[in-house]
Amino acid sequence: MKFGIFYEISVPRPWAADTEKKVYDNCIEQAIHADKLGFDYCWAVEHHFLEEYSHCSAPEIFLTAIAAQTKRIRVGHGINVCVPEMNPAIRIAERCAALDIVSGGRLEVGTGRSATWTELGGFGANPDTTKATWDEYVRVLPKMWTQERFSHQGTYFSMPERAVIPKPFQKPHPPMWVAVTSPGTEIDAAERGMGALGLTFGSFAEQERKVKAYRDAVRHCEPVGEFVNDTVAAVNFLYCHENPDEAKRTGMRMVGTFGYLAAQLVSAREVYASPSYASFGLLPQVRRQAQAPGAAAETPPGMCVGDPDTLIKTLKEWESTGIDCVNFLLNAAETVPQQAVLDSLELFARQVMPKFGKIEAAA
Amino acid sequence: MPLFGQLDTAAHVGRASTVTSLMTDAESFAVDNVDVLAFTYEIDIQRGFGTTPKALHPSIPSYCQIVVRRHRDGPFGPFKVAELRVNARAGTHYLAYCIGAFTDNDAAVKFFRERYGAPMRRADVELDVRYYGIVGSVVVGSKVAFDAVLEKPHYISGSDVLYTPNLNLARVGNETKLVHQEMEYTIGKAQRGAATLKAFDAAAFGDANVVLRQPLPATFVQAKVTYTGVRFLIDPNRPAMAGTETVAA
Repeated sequence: MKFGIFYEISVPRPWAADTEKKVYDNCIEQAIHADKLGFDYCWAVEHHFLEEYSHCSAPEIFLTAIAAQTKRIRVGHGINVCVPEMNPAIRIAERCAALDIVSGGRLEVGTGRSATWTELGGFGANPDTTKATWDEYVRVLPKMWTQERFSHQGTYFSMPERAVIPKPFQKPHPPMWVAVTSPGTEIDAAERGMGALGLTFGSFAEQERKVKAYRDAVRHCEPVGEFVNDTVAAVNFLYCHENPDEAKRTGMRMVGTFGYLAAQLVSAREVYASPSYASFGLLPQVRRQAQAPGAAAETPPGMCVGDPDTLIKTLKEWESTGIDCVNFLLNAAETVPQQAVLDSLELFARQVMPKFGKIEAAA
Repeated sequence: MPLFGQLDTAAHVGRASTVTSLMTDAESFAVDNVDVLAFTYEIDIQRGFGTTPKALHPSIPSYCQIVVRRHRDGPFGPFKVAELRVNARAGTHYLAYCIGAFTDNDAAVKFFRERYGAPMRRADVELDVRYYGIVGSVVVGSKVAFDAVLEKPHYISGSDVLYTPNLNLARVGNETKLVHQEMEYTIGKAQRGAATLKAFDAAAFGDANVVLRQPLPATFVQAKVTYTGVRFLIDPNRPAMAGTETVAA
């Protein structure tokens, strides 16, 4: 099994002049550390207007900084929002190719369509059509990368013949993924021969069902790209500490803060009645569903918060569901001190990773 | 920590309802074939903060709903209700603070004020299905407080429509509380369309700071609506995560 880190870049209020700078610096330091420790991926989201929850509206810039300071870790642009009002398809192709070149062929390309009215409404996008625009984008991106010149007459965008340049460093093109939040999107990913980048928490049984459905469908896929990426990744939180009580106390504060910030946003489903959005998105399962707002929080099963032995046991269970990779959120609104995040990464790499066939890299 | 509302509830207590006894689950009742027309608008964010109690977080972005319900029958006979709600979060819970509400039935005024603490007053409330759309309106005395049309309706799935519970500022015993008022919707037919606003007087509902900005699609459903027991009360001036007390339904 592979392991990655995953950034929303959440910035807590109050916002001083240097708050965002400090958070960005911390994230970059963590990514450099993770690279040295042997983590496989560093993903960064694309979100807009999501106050405190995510200040990561230009992930290609953030990932470029990481790529320039690391040697081995793959950089995941996850996800590019495939909605014309937010990103023209041509610009996605160009930015990804440039990042792939700068990173020396270490780019993973995530695709998706945004789950919040906060974002879609901010750009004047139509929630009814985002699935269709995403579908059109993922079919043209590989062509823009592999054809010397490209033209397109489509439903949601068209362009005359031009050379979309630069071309990616990886040949024929970087691996492609789909963000999976809504039920059934794992099938959309499989049918197109794209990796499933899980972004919601579910039970072990639910994950196993999704993986099986994905594996069944991907066998008969018609890949949108030049090759099939049949990788299934899940997302989780990570806080690893020798003391299980401390791990739970600090880790669950992070988990609770993340869910708290996510709940403040307006999902597309909340205000825009549309079959296009069947779920709330944004890791909704983390949110507290207790009877009343003040009710005590419970530790969701499968959360990677604990001592090394606990995490080994938890991750073995996740591995048994058939997933190939787990991407970890390391912090939320800086609730975990930076040194504690770095120590957690190191302890995880030293004591947990070797149990999954990974040799600890030189720190 | 997300921003909190800034409403000074002390200034509103004078006209708040007084709960005589909280609605219980044992007393819950359902009304079949209720027409529910909901108009949703983003609102001026900075002024919107002043419409939301300090216990709650305004959503990002702030938005409100004007909801009109037509009950063809019920425990007090036929009645119609119109509510102005500013949507917010109590901790992580999706709720809406009810700025003001109107009904055309005197018994309903008494019921909603005394059992849910709703800011309910008497007015002419209309919900009409016309050939060109579905009309919702509120006339207080001789003044139009609200008039809007859902135009170009088209059918959608009932499962695509969501409603959140209300919170009503009310006197409960010797204290001022936000009283939870939940309606369960079993939705049959559902339609969606564009909202055309002809009149809106936020002050008539109770707070002139609700300034409508961007309209979102309006919805119209026919549903079985169940009025359930009050499950919790919130101190309006403390964060909901700390100031919530559950009620034995």
